Amino acid sequence: MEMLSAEEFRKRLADVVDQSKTLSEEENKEIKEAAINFCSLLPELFSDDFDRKTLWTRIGNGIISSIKKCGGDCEEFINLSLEFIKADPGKTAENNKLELFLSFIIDKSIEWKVEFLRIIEKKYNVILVYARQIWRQKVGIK
Amino acid sequence: MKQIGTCKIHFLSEAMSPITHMMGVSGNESILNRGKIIYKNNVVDIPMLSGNALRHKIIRDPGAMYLVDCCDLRGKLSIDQANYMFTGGSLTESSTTNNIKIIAELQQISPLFRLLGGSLRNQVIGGSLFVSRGLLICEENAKTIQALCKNYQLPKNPLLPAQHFISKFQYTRGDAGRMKDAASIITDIDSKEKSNLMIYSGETIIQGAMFYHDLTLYNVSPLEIGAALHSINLWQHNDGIIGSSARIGHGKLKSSIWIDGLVDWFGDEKDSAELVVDYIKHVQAKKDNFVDWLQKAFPEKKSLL
Repeated sequence: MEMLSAEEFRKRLADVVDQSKTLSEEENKEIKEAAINFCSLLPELFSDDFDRKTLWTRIGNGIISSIKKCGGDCEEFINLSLEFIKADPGKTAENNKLELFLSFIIDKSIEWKVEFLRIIEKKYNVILVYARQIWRQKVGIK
Repeated sequence: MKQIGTCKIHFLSEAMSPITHMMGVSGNESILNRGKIIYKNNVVDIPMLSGNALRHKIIRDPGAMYLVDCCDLRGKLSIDQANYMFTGGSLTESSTTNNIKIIAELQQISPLFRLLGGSLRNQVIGGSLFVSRGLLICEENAKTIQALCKNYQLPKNPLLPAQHFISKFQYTRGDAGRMKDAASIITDIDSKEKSNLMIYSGETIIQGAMFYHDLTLYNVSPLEIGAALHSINLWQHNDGIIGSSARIGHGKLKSSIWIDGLVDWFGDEKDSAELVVDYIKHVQAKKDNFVDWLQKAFPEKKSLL
């Protein structure tokens, strides 16, 4: 049986210290908005191979499976999400909004990116509702 | 025998596999055991390990099983005797007899049951072991844990919130009627019958999460502390199982401990390993007495017919 010293106790608990507390309230708000923004871009890149009626179901499933598969890598998450909806590489490369989004997150801190993935995993249903709302406004659906 | 007084054993237990200690089921989804706490003026539900489960798994079960093997009691216990040892027993008769002698005898013979207490058929015997709940080491529990840990300081920075440690699982239980060899194995297979395939899911506390919990031993002798430490060692030796689903790899805890109160009334510090050895020697020396005591305390019931 391992006997624990006070120093070792503190060291072990250092593993569960919250790094995201370094993020400000504004940054946390920005992360949620970024998550909604990313999801609202996906309908534009959704493959015509799929039934359009399954748009949000497939985007939702893509988000869940990509989060599990990305291993905490933000860019891999985005790539996997695009793969899941069979986004055409040509259209993806030309998509200005996606390019803007990627340049927006590229310099963000590790803590920011970790929180971005965590918030998507924990709240994807709610995020999809807001994303759909934005998409409907964009395409002029009431 | 020199009395030690009160001793507290603190645990820092790390999940070596997902912990699925449940409070109930909603549909086919198991929900983690949670307790309500006040955090920032709100009442929030935080996952926890029940004291009941910890007490049983850490002390009673391994301690009683050791006695069964040591006293060669396998296949020889009545249900009342087994219940007393493994579950604490229950009151089944009115208290009309004087049990002082038999209780005094137990106090001398078995440090483990002096610690645990239990119920004779007609009287409950108090113990001297008090078990805390298992508190998830998270931001919401930080103040409480710090108060319980006393001079063991938590990190200055905030801890992760409890929600970070919760995940989900899903399993499938197959249907024998749908196996490829079903027709050659089952006599009354009905292909039209609905499948019995069962999908079940639930919440889990992730591997790597940590819990703080403790045992307080009030007014105990060195032998009782030895009994507690011996049981803890056995529990850890068998993977420190807690909660359900150990059959599929869940519920393993690796614990480290520190002890307050190993100093006796004369100021001598006791060595924990020595206490365990003394307890084992005591059990070896008293095993016949313990078997006799069990027979006396739980005699065979006489049939009235």
